[in-house]
Amino acid sequence: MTQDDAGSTGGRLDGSLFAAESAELATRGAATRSSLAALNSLAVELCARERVEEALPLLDRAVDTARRVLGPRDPDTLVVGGNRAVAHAMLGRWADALPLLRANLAERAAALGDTHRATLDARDALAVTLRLAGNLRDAVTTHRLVVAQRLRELGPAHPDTLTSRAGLAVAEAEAGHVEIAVEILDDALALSATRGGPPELGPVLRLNLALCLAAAGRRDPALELLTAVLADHEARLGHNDPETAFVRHELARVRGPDPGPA
Amino acid sequence: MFDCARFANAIRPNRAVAYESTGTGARGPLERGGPAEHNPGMDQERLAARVFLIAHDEFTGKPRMSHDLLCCGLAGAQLADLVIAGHLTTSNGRILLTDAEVPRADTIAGYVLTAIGEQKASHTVRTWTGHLGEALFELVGRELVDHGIVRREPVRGLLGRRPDRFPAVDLLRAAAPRIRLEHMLRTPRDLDLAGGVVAALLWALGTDAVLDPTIDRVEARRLVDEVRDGLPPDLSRLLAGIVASVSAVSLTVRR
Repeated sequence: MTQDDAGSTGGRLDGSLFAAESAELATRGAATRSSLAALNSLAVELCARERVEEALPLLDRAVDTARRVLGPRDPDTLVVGGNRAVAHAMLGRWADALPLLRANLAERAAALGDTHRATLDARDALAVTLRLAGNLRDAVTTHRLVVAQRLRELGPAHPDTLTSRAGLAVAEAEAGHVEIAVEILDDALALSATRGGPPELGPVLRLNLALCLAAAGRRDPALELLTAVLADHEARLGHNDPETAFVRHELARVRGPDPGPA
Repeated sequence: MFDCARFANAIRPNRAVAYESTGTGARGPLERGGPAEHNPGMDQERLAARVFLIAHDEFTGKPRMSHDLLCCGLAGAQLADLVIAGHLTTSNGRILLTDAEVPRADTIAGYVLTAIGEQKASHTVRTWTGHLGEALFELVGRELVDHGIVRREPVRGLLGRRPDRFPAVDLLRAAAPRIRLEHMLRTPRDLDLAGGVVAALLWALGTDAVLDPTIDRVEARRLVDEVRDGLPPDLSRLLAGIVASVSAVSLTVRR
């Protein structure tokens, strides 16, 4: 079962909310794997559009259906269970998200194995959520475990490994270990540049590195990197994009107040 | 099956520092972002209200289509809303009640479901559009007035009363459904089911001229064809019924 099974119209509407909603409505109440895929796809599309509150009841329904129809250890049941937990995390509901993520991780480990790619995905999601929830010590520990496991299972240049290293760097930086974060990001950036990672990864790594350099008091390299990141954002996303505006704001902040004419 | 855990891995953590601090200004680079805000806005608005607002000029309040066609569109939109919500289904061109439980505080949905539920036999889409259209015009118009989106201005001509005007009180909210639909027609990937249904209805009514004339009509027509092909069976059958109703409206000579 793939996402493409649900919501494909074979035209310009592929990937639209229209396609996902239509597929869900067409299979609603069927209690089959394809109806579950349609429900999951719709929920994911809503999450991608920041409409997470609308996605949550769909994911609740998907989890109930999947458990009943497919069984609790089925890979698709584990997917929708993870998605529900992530949706809670996206809303900042840590008290709901963390137990759900831990339970989902345990279920994936039991059903698929501790180093299965889907288990590592769930562990990474848990690490990120721990960081966002402010539990930095556990976040760093969990991130380190994911990085070690992905290094071993996928290799150092795999996009998932680079992604988890970026996550570890952010957690280390937030925990006050900025120099460690700089080292991790430097290394990940070099690997990403030479081996080719997902296109969105490079700019994010550069931005995070620049902010970490600034936090470490290394103003000049931070400014140089932020200037390059701003140019890249303006070219890719446009002048008025919120992320471009954020980079511009950070550049101004790191640069400090203009002293004016001497 | 798309795994949102992977979605979170791929997007959120990487963008976390930059993305979640966006727009806050005062936040430092390594601080945590708050939860994503949800703004239901127009997404929660009933389809019939969208059709009603699109059908009226925001400034003059004049209807942009004939009253009969508008009533047909309002009925089609409200029936579609109830199909999407799982209250109605269609079979052999007839409307069938699947869930009679009236949504709380939704008097318009309640009115339609009660009307359908009281019938001993099922009736065609065309019968229901003819029966519900005028009442829905009144109910939807009143709701929009009550919500402070438009005001109602009665109009009297030499030969008697003409269609009332509904100029905007809140211009942004009144124009929003049309602007959003025009955006979706230009950017098909942003189209949602509600937008697709409204677009298909406007084209079925032959009233797409109410939309921005700079929209490429050939491309838009193709997109609406794709929408019709991609609609779930229940909505597809409903739309076919609306097309039949429109033919009847077009053939009727008003005296």
